[in-house]
Amino acid sequence: MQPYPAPYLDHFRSITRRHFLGQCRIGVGAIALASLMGGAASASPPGRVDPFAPRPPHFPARAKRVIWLHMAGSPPQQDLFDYKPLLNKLNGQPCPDELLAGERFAFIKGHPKVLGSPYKFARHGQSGAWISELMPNLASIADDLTIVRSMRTDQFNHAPAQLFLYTGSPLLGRPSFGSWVTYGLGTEASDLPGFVVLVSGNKTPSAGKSVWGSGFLPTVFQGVQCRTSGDPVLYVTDPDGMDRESRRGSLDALRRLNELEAERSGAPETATRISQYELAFRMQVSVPDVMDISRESPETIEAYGAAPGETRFANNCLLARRLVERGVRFVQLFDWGWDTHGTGPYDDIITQLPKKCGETDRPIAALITDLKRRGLLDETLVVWSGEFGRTCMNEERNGSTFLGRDHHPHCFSMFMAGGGARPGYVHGETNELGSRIVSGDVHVHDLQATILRLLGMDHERLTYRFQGRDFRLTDVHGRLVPELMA
Amino acid sequence: MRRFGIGIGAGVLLTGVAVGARGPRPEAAAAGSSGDLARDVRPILSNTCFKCHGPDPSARKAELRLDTAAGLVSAAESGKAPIAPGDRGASELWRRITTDDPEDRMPPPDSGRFLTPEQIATIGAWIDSGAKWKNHWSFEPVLRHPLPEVSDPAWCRNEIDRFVLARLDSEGLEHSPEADRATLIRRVSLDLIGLPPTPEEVDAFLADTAPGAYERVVDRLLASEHYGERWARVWLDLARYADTKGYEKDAGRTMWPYRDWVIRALNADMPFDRFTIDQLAGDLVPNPTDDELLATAFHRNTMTNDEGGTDNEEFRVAAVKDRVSTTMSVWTGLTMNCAECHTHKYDPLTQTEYYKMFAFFDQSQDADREDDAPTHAFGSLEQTARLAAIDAETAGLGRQIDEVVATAVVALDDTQSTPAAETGGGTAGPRADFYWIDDDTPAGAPRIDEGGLGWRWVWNDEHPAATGTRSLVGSSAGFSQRFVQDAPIPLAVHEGDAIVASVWLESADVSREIMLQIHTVRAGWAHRAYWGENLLNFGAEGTPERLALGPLPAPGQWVRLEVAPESIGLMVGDEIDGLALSQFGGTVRWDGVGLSTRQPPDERWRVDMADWERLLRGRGGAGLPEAVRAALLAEHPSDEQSAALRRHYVRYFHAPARERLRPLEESLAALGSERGAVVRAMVSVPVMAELSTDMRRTTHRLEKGSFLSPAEEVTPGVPEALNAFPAGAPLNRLGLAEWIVARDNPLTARVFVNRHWEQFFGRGLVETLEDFGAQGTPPTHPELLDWLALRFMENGWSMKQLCRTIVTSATYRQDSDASPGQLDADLFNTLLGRGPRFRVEAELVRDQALAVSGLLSPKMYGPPVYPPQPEGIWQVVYSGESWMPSKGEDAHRRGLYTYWRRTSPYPSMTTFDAPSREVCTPRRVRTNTPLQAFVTLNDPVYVEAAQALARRMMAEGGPIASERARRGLRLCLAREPRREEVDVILELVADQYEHFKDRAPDATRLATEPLGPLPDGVDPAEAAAWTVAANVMLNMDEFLTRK
Repeated sequence: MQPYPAPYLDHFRSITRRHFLGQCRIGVGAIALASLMGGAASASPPGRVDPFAPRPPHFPARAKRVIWLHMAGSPPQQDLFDYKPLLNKLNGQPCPDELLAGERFAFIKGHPKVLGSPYKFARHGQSGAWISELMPNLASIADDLTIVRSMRTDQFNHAPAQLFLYTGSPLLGRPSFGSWVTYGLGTEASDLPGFVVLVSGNKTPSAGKSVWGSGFLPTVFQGVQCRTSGDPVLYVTDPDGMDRESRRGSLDALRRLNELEAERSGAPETATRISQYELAFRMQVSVPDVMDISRESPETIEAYGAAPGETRFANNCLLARRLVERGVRFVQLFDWGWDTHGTGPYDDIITQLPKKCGETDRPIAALITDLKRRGLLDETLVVWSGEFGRTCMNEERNGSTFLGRDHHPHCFSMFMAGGGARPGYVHGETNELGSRIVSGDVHVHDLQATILRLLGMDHERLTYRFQGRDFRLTDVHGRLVPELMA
Repeated sequence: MRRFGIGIGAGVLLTGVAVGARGPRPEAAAAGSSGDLARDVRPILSNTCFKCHGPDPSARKAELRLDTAAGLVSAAESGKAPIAPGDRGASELWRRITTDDPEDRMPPPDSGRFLTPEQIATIGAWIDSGAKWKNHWSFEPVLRHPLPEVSDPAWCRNEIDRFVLARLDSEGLEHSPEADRATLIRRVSLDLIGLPPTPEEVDAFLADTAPGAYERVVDRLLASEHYGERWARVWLDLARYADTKGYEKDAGRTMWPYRDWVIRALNADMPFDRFTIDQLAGDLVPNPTDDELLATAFHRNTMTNDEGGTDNEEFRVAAVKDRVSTTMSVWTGLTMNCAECHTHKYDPLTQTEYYKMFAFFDQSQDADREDDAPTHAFGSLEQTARLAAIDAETAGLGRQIDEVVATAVVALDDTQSTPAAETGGGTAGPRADFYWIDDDTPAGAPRIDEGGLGWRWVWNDEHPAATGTRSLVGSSAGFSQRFVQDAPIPLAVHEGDAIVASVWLESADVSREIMLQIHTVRAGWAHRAYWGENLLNFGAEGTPERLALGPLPAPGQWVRLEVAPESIGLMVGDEIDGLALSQFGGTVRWDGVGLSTRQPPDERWRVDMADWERLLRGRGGAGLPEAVRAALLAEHPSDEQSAALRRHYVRYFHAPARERLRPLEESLAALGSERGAVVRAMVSVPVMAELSTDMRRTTHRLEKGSFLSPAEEVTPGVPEALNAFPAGAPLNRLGLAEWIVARDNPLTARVFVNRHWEQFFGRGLVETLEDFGAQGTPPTHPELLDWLALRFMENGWSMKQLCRTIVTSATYRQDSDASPGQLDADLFNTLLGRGPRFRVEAELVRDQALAVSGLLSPKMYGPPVYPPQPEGIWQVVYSGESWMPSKGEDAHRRGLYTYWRRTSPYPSMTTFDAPSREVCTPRRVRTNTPLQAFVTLNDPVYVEAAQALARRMMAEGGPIASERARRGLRLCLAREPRREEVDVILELVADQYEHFKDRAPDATRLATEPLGPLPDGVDPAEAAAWTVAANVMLNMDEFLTRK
């Protein structure tokens, strides 16, 4: 094959340029393509609205964005936020029978023994919240936190409990929290996905990608997993050997061809596709840009304990701030490794729990402080939780001598910060054994309803008609917990 | 826009879902054609009133029921009847919906529901006209409607067109002209076989000027094997077909033979009634064939939960519920699942009826077991013949064994049967190994698996065994173990014995620690030895309870481990009755676990029958078969029981008989081992099978749907609102299937033809494919729907004939381009005034790119394949499984053969709206997102296709650039490209060539990664420029769209 003779190339280049610039655009302009490409939803063809266009909520919103930090596997509340001195007194004794009556455990067999907490607790901040020594940085900002010690779920296995927390149902197939929120509110990020997921700890959560799936909602609302190694978003990177100039040239040609088709067919869908390719082109810059934490100052990186180029929870906290800063509506973090059963040093509360706390305490505190400093905390709701609680008994699976706790659905602790949550407030109480809620009961559906309300949405009105029924995140349950709102 | 809870405006960016602000609404549309007020009123009342005044008695308020003719005129709690037919002024309902008094106003202002002025007017007119009440349209029988008169009979090619045109006439709209031939052949090829036509096929069609040219293309396509592949995709979404079990572990399972069955059945044009019966009840037809059994895998596509600590019954019930909702959704388009916890709020389906349907499916053997039992092995002719021969030989041996047992002479004081433990046994002579766990675990000892290793035995032909014919293997991420305990005949420890075990550690997946644990009658689990790291924290370290015996044995070979009994606290005379094999991580094989002893092994089993009985009674008969155990423990055993006890003793313990039985057993074992090898070479697929009569479950209504709250018992039955159960049909799944395909079932045929219609037109005549109930959308063309349903049944339920009828209509053949006027009048083409146009489905996006680039493999059938996907997608908890990309042509198979993992489906297909297949998916929505652009622009699969297409253009287009561009565009679009399109490509190629000519390394990478080196003499810059052009072509809207 011979390369083209240069004069031949120049000839048709000039013809086509003239043709396109001279005639074609005018025709396309007539079907409102130009304005669509500018991103203005109001100029879209009738019946077609950008699903991510920001939409007003039902009520004035306290929070505009959510950062949800999920400790997958579920941390033991007795060792972190729910101080139970009685457990230390009874440590090693057979647990009271009342803890066994009618219970199903994932692993505990026989008559287990009470397990006290090996960690010291102290009161912190003006609220006087009890926080254990494992979370010193969070303790230092106790007055920014809304701690709930009386959370409750229906599920005692990881996958169903995670699904329950994020989709309102333990079975697969329902939309996730972030999908509902972006479906309800759209997003303010024009060049980024509205719902971003970041995973650390080398494993995706037990329930798989369904915890950020869109269920029966259109797939545009599913969470987009951004990765810190490889492509930050799948296939965002141009093929090897293609640079931006080459890509721009190819997209220009593609747009011309598609404009010809749009003009001919009159199909609104074609106009939409043209704009989606332009958005994709912008995302090719904006996504890698937002994902590059090395652009942060050394002080900020140090404050979070982040390490550019690695996959770690601290990096994801910093990324979460960068994402909400750019208007992303819902950022969901999953961190694996909290399933502290005590079958070995890799999952006990003596070695593994302090390790996980060490990895997360500082970055979370840094995130909240950073958001506050930048004036973002008021409108950003930070949520920290596991999917259920853990037993106040030592699991001792197969006679294990490592200390650990089994799954426990009846009570667990979580906290929120910012976004209209009531700061410096501790909600609810469990009994002396920390096994049951005695006041301030907050069921998972109640938490969902309350968080939606902070976002300005009525959980009973955020619905989607599917297979003949109006579905909602809270199923047919959920009540607001006004005490949690500032 | 009530359908969206909050103001999401006039729909979202979806094709085929949102009902826009413009265009006729289906209800209004229905009214326009029928003038039928009863038909119009029903959906209004359903949507607004039924929730509190509908079928569900527990939700019903004021004793008022508006969903039946009787309810409308009966006195409610207030004493007033809602409707006075013919007189709106006298109707309480009218007063309530028009009053200004917020106390009386209906629907209540705080309900979030309201009636529009048009709806109120419709209700008023309906009352005045006599308030005739009709059942919901889809519950009414399928009727034969007269063909309507139309404005342009010459345009009509078949009856479809008469119905469509009549409707257009009534709205004052026009049909469109026929699409050009190139567009038409691309459309019908994509629709019927899911592949684009080759330029040669297009040329042949263009050249065929004889009448019937189009019909000849249609017949060629319907006869193509690819027809089955394309339509299997649709059915597999309904069948929730996947290659994994779902839930947290989501382990693999063999389902692909079912997928192949669907393809074959469709290609053979199996009548839909047969297709239905085989899938729902193929196991219940007389003498089922392998194919009929395989078809029942349809309902074994339910998920299985292998997660530790889960309740099998809970997930068995979940699977049965899934079968109910899938069956009803697939065949009747009803949302039966709404009646799981309470009576349906909108449709006449009670909660009891839900559980009557549940009862049909409650008798299958499957029970959320990890091995997915029951399964059926499917083999070749040779395999099947060999199995029959083996089975015959086995039966013969069985008879010989029975004879030996029957004729043995047993004396109660049989001196040949002195217990070894009492005689002591000698300590001289060589030691011999006596294995306790070898090819199997000790008879009668319960087996326990912790950590999900399972009891996986691997035969010699797969991996050499250390002893015997098979070994035990298991992989785990962390701690895991298997153990046996309560062995009915314990193993006594003698002087000088050694515990032995053979172990093989996999080099590629080395364990961190292995441990042997022994349970004795005297001291329990207090004897442990371990090798490797000290991670398993049982017992006290440094004592016989946890004895370190050094580093792990060398991997990649069998290593024989020996442990001195006393070092782990065993004493002479101790009875071993349990043994555990534990590991931390890695893949570990175990074999030949037992004692090395000088005691002749047979001696220790020689006991006389009286001793034997005594010994077993002392342990409560643990581990014996239930009947034998009962006989042993009976105070006054019957003759039959005594005989059973004796048979068991002779069969397994009586020394003289044992000597005669041993060679027979060896032959049996050899046959069993061969049978195992044959069966393992066959594929086993989960199938449906009924429980035997003595094992049948009783089915209960479940309070709020909870398996923990059974209420009254229910028997199988079908909803009363539908056709009657066929007389004489059995009250099981077979009868249910016959009920579904009965000619008087008002739903089955309608639902099916509607789903096919959607495949061809992008939306159904009933838009809600998944809901034919009161809350679904009414049909836009009800008479056409009935005509198609009747024709379908009258044509012997032929699916191919249905396709043919649709694609040969003038309606289907219309041009899809829309004028502004057409868009304005009917944005979503509900009235079918133009041809269908929509983005192709996920599988087709990829298949088409592979086809036009020449990469697509035509290979059909077989195990799923693993085309390339980015690393790190499969990060699954508790599983070391990884995605190993297929090599050779398997990397380029049609999308339907791609491994479908439910928790992590193939990412680029998900991006194009493929479902996870966790549950039945009657309708895929279509979205249009920037993430899709990333896939077709940058996914290596599509980059490779662009490279191949570029080379194809260069090779097939010749040296002239415009010919190459023309060739590429024709391959992609089928039609002759226009000059300005060719010019765009030429300019792009020229620009890109300029760009790449000084960037040789970039050019080479772009043109060769991942496809491979360029042919000799090809300039990389030129190849790169054409690769960019091909990449553009594969992203053209027209290419991604079927128009």
